[in-house]
Amino acid sequence: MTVTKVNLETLQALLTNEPLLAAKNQFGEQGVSRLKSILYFLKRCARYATVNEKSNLTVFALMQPDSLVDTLRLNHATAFQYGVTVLGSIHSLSIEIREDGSPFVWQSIPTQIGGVIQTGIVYQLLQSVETFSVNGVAMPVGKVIEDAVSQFCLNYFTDLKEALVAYRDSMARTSKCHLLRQAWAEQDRLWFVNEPEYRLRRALHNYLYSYLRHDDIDLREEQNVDDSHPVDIKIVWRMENRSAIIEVKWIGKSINLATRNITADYGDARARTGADQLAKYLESHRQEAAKEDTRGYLVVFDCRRKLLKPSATAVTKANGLHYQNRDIKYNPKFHKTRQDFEEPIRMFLEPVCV
Amino acid sequence: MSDPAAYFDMLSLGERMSDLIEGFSRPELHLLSYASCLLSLYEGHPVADWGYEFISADNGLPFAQEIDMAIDIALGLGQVYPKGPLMLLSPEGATEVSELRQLEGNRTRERYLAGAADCLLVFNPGNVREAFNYDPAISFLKDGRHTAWVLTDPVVERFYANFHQLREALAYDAHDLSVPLVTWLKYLIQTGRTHDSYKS
Repeated sequence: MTVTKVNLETLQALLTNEPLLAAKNQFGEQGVSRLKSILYFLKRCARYATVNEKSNLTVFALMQPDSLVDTLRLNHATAFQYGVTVLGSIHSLSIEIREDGSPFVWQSIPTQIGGVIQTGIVYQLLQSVETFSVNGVAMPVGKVIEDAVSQFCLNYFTDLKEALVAYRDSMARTSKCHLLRQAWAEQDRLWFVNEPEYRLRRALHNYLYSYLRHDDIDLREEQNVDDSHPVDIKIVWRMENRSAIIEVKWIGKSINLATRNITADYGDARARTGADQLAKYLESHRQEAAKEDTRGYLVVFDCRRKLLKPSATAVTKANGLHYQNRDIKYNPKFHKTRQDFEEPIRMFLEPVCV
Repeated sequence: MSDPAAYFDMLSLGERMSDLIEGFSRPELHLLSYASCLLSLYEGHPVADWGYEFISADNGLPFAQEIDMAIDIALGLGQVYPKGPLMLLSPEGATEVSELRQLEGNRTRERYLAGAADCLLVFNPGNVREAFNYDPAISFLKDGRHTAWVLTDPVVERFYANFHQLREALAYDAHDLSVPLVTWLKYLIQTGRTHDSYKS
């Protein structure tokens, strides 16, 4: 897709909700600078602390001095130190960004200055909704990264395994990932749609594209099933002359809901086939590109449910979670015998149980 | 010998990216130098004034040979050093860029470089890449899978037209160029994703 002529309606809608522009219109270039100082704080803070669905975070910048705030600050606020003041998960935090860019943490915001703060620029994260208020006018922050709690407090990964584990735990397990949700045949997540492979690859690729620092990341397109493109996802880090190839498999059942026919039913054997394929590819790649450090990762999306009939419309907790902790037995154990084969990562996908 | 403009651009962007996102990769640096060049087009400057040109790399994203050479030289001089899969500006590099910023010609470029780097306050590097994948010049070359100059005359003319519309919509001459760039990238992402969802 290419952008040729600008769609003015779309552009105008974006500008109406653009906090940087609102700050400029209200406070001039100084407003832009102060709003950016808030964003800078969020960026740096995210190196040491994380946000979740329960986080309550307020970061504000006053646009003019206020003697009451100056007085109360002495008793209610202290200088914020990155990597010291807040570590781990943020529960509730109120930060003032001073004119020189230095952050101050307020133990609580006294009610007498609540109104004063609103005359400046205020960022708020509450129940996964982010807003900017500029002189009391609030505007929501649009989601560029759909599934992220915050668009600004982001933690990047430089390690692929860490990124895969994070995806498994935060996005895959409860199908929080919006692209992964498209792989399900129905909303209770009992079965996949027919041929969900590309959707699963794309979901994982999308997450890694956003959260993993990399040089290049290639996704095998839906139509590509020939030997010239055997790899599902390939990631390259040129600085370290390294690459990773990810083989994506799924186990469980897929269904055609209209006919109630099971279109595929895969068990452990499919995961073992994936391991074989990956090992073969690594071996042939090693022959051709001996100087490159390439590692293989097998990712298995597991939607197995116990005793699930095609006519079922619900699953009990016992049957739905039966395979939650049932690891796949690999034979041969390539991750034990090959140095370039990482331990397979199984992502059990929970259904909605009755 | 590195192009002086490219060397300054690399150091300046490298410094900002080291600070904002704890380092940079080569493709990321090329991408932000391209964004900086686009900001000079946004202000109506001829593309030839930028000093170096961009081709499309294997991954379809913009690549400038002069920027790549600048990185190699800086690594050799210790002004940039590797840290894991990324690179960081060293104290020597910080001193060098601080001195280079005093030069008249570089002070003008600095606005474009700062505007480009500051988009990382709003987007992560992956989403900046995504936005530029929807860039008209880039996506055409990527779909055709061939390497070519990115900013040809027709492409530049189209940018001038698009940016004229953006300037009119913003209704002010931005000193801080992160505002138009952030708006432009959001526009690319929104329209690009909408079109992709119609396709699927």
